[in-house]
Amino acid sequence: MQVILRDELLQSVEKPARYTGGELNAFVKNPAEVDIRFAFCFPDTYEVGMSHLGMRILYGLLNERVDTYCERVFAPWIDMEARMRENKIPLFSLESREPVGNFDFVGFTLQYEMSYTNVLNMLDLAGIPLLRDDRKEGQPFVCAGGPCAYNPEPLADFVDFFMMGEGEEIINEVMDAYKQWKSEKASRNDFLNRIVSIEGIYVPGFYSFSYNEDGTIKAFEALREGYPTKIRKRIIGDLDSVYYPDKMVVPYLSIVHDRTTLELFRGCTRGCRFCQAGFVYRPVRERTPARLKEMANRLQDSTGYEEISLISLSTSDYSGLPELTSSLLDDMEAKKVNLALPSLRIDSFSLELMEKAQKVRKSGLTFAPEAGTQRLRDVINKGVTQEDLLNSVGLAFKGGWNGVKLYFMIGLPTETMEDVEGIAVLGKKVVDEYYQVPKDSRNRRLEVTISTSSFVPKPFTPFQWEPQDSMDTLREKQSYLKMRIKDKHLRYNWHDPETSFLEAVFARGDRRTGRVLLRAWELGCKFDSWREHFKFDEWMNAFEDCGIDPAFYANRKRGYDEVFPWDHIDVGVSKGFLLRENGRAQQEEITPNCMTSCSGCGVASFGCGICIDYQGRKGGDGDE
Amino acid sequence: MNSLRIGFTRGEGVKFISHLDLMKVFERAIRRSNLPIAYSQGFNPHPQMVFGLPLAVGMTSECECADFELTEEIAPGQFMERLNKSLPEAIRITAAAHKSSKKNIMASIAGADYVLEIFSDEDISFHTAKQRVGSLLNRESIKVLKEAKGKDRSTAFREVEIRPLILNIELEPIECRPEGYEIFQSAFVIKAGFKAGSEANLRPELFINALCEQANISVVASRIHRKALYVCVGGRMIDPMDEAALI
Repeated sequence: MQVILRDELLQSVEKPARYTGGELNAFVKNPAEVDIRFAFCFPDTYEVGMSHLGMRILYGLLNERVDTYCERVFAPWIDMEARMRENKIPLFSLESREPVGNFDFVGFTLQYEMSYTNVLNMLDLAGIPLLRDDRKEGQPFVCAGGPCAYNPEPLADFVDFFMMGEGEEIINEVMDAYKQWKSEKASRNDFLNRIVSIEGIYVPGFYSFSYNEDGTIKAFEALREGYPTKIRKRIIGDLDSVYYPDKMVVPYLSIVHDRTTLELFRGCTRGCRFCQAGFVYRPVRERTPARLKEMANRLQDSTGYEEISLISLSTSDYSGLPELTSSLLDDMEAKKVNLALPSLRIDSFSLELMEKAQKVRKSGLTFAPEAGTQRLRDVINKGVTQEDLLNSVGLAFKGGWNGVKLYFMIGLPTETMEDVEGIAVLGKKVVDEYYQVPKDSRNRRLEVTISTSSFVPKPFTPFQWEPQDSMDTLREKQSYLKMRIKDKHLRYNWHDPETSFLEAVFARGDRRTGRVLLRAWELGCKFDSWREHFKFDEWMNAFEDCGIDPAFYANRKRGYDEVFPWDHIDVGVSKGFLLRENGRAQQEEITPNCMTSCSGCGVASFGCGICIDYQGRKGGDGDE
Repeated sequence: MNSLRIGFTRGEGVKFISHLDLMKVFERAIRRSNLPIAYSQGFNPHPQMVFGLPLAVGMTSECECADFELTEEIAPGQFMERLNKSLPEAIRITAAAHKSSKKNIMASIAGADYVLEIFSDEDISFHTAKQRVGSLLNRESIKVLKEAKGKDRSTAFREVEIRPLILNIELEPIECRPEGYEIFQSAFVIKAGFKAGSEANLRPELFINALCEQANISVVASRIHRKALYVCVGGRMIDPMDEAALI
């Protein structure tokens, strides 16, 4: 049964095209003719969710199956939610406009912690019991994946099963198992028992935690023998042969990343110690330029987009970049298609490339030194020196750019006020660099923007043991920096520490923090990543109501032998390696990237990507 | 330069997209079709296309029109076929013709016909509704408040005279209600002709406001469909696809 959305309802909300679907390349199937209905839910608005590549891949991949209809669901904005609740309209999918509560699977992708209350809100709007224990036979299975799923515990009470790692294979295995199970009309629990042994599947209801008196975890235990006690992430070894969509949905309204996206490679060789993505997506696996060109042409033909974007964690590290870009520029020029190049390291090659590729105004270039002093950059293993940065901005100024954005973090481990001041000093040096360029070869009106975010320690990083600075300390550092930034060309932006504080709680939260999520949602928290809807006071009330101290999770230094809520998840990078890296950070020692030598992080056990390509360069995978 | 004019429909599936977004839909469809469209010069080349009177968000239409500049000669029928293959289902080109007139389609629009389905939460008989609409139209002057966005994005209202903009009105009983609209007490269809275009334009919503406020017909929901657009040639209102409008 389709939900009915009358015109006057849609006319009364902002951007009604968020809810009407029917876009070019969206799949149209007859729901009666499929065995499996999968509601792919992104817990944020249409514009944000539609920009997410993972969803586009899995949407296409699931719909390749004739037995499955995968449909898209986004969080209705506040105005639409109010109208839906008033009119008793349940959460519905964009394709068939049918209630999500009637689907076989309701799958969430977890991209950031601040979307967790939206997960709960969407379940509630769908009429699905929030707690997995309350779900009955015939109700959908709620599953989740994505980077935040690597610490699944905060959502463990709400999600029937998690899928760890890259989804292209595991999701098909789960669908196959489901089809079999459905035909046998077995129980809910039976299905979970069938999939629990699939590598990468975590069924939280099959495990329990016990705690020490000090609140730390005592043990993680399987409730029955035979359940795996290490859940290993899934990974695609060969990116050239794995599925990539030939067509992507082209939205009617502008979305955040409104362009064709080409994924160059997965993983990152750099090993910046604060960066979760840099560890959990290891090892680096590249696509060949030939495959990428083929993908680009197919996608351009099917979407007609005016821009094509090369994406990865660090585009400059792509070994085939010169070959790929020169060929794409030739192909796309004729079609009046621009090439977008995010996350490039700035050197003469990339500047020339940008000049050729993007018909953008030469206003803003972005650099991320992350820390203000060399000492602290060594601590975080950010392999950028002051000289590198000043050379790059110098080249950019000579090339006609007159705006530079500098991204930093405050609250990094071992940071002192001297490091904070270093941010202002570095900003000033960038300004000086501009004045080094002769007047007639630089552009006028220099603007340098310094932005600081607050460091959030994340699981599976060498800093997973570290405390986050208290909000007061972070504010103190911000105001100190504000005072130190004096040059009229320098602007300073900072993030409110409240959001970072909550991120720190849930990034490393255990199963008990799920109660806080539920309580915060009851108190009206949702769309927490949207400033206008962020209700920090209600969050604090939720912690109090649950008797949970957020500082225990955010601001506590963990012992090296502490059991973490995510210890049963295996991302390939060993805890021993992370511990070694933590030690090297304290010693201000840098670790070379995987292109230079292997540091034995453990992911070579996957037997693919750079670990194989660079074997022989130095040693093997010498992890203990 | 070779110019073509097309007529197209906008169905239910694309009624909630803005005029600007519609232009993007065409721009991308053109790129997919590989049709030889002329692009503007300069920094950010855009395809050379001009649309008729923008359709307000929430309306469907069977009579939209647009002009395209091409770099190569191409038969109108072939242009239509190829572009239709690239467009989403909810947009269909129904006519295409060579255009030699230099007049910009946007500036030429002078009138429009609409079909308004209106729904009331009061039980009003067709006879009563007809009387009420009739007496409204018998007035020499109908003034309504029109929302006007100020420079500072503030919203102000000003009074506008709409009677001279109404060309014809016919009230009819509704034959078949769309799904979901059974809940309303009464429903009618109004076939309306309004002045339209850059010189004088009556938006159908304003007329519905007048029905509510001044004809005692409480309209709580409505569906609006554009039935025809007209250009004015030699004092005559004609179809933009008409030969006289193209030459």
